[in-house]
Amino acid sequence: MQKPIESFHYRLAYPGHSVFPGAHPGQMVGSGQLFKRHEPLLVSPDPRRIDLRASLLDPFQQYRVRVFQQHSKLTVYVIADLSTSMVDKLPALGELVLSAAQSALQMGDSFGFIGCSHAIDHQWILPAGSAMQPVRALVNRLQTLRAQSRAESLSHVAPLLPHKRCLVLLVTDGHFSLQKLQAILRPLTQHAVVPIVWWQTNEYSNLPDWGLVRFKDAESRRSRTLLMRPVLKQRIIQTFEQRRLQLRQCFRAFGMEPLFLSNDYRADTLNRYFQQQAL
Amino acid sequence: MTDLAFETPWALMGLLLIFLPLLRSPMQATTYPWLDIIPVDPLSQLINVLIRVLAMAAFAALFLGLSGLHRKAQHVERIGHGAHIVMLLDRSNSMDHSFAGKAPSGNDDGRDAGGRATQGAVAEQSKADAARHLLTQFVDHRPHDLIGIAEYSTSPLFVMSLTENKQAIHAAIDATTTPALAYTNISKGLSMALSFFDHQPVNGSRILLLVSDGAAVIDPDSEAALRVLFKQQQVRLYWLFLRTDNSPGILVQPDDPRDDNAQAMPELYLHRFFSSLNIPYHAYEAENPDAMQKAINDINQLEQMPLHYLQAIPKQDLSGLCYRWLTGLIACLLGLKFCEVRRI
Repeated sequence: MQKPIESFHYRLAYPGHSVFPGAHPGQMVGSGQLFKRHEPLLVSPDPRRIDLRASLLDPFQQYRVRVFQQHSKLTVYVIADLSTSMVDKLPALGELVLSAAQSALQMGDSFGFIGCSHAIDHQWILPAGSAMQPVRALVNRLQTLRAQSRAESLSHVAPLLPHKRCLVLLVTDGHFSLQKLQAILRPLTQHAVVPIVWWQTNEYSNLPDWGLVRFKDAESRRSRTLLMRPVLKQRIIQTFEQRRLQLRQCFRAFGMEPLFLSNDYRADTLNRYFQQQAL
Repeated sequence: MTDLAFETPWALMGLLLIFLPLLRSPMQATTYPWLDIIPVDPLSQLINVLIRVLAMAAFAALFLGLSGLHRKAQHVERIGHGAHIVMLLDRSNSMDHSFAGKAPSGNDDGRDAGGRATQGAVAEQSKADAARHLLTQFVDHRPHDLIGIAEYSTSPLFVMSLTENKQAIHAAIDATTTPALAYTNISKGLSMALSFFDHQPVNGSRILLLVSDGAAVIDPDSEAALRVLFKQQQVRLYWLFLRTDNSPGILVQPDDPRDDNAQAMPELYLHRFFSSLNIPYHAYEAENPDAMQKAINDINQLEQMPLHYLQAIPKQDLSGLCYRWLTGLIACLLGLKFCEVRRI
């Protein structure tokens, strides 16, 4: 029995200018509800929309036509970090992908997915489209992923995205250096990027208070033995908080507001995030 | 003290496994996304090193134990107070008599159930028993001495060469509980006792303790040979003379000049012979066990010269120690293992 897919509502502060009509306020003029401006009849030859009053008032004695803002279609992409450290977050990532796909398709937008492991693998690329079935198939495949590498290809993902501005959900755990993060974000600035930083609570706040623990790094395979005690746990939590600040600072430098998720995926979190954004 | 050896040296091959704890950890690893973010913790590093060292030490202890580590038998030179003592015991018939000059009365033969001499518990004891008992005590009071035992009767009897093994000496003394033999031939006994000092280093003092209840004539040839021997061996001579009632003592001068010959008064002549040797010599005349005790105490006090001696340390098996260490180390590791958290 599958869990029903929760969807969320997203909106963008700076809409794109896709020629295809859709659900989002865009910069295209055409059929719509919102009056935008008057234009000469020659520019937009639609006699149905001739505004007689404006034409009379025109000092150049030309016909003025009303144009409306056309709602345009948006492309939503999920770019996921498929490094080894993300393995335990894959089920939640699958939920997020399904939820984002359903949200996008409900709005009439198209949805695409790019998974980044060591190199860009076509197996993990889903071109933007408006069908749900390929997304389900991809999510099913995602659950069987045995990641063995770092997400080196995250910084090479920009050429795969459309030229037009689209909504990019960048899902990662942020476990790499800030320089690398900057290199990843720089080519993505023309898109509306929502960085989703996913940390499991048992990485920091859910650690045991006492006892010996041996941790093995998921990527470098180094291991460390720790004598857990409240002081050390507190220090680890502090380090993670500091890291959160650093990441937030780094994302904000590129005009992106990060969303920090932990453990299970909940669509409400994304709803709240998008509602908090000023338009 | 580094004289270590192994019973089964091939088991030492297992020592190669000592590096195993460096390569593998006994603890179950939990995958963690990014270790670099965890702050450096010196205490944890210390524990990590400790676990590895404990595991390596456990392997070392195991394989050293399996290879039968032991310390070889050794001699340690020590300095104590004591002497090289040769006891020359008289086994003539008369030694089985009491100080009163007759066979000990009662059915008690002067020994307890274990064959040891008892003192005071029995009204009368034979001179041999008294001597045996006192000599046993004497030996117990002299921890560092080398003691040898010779006996003489018609012929000299070699009992035990100079040794520091107290058990053997006690056994040798106890062996005189067997019935005494025939006559007294003191000159052969003396030369055998003196031969005990051959090939022995001269350190500390050398004592010849003659325990007898009578004497015999020494013929001139033996006398000359003995003089040479006494000079060569540099011994101190103590004569514990167990005098029987009514017998003439060592120091008694004969009333009658006609009795003044070696046949009539062998004790006096032997005493004169010893005195003329120009060696440290002392004669004790004991008429009962108490007097004998006093004489022995005297000797005990007098002969406390510093003595170099080699103490033998027997082969020590260290594998038991290795296994004890192994047990302790495994207990430590087990304790650490119980501290491990596997919930994550």
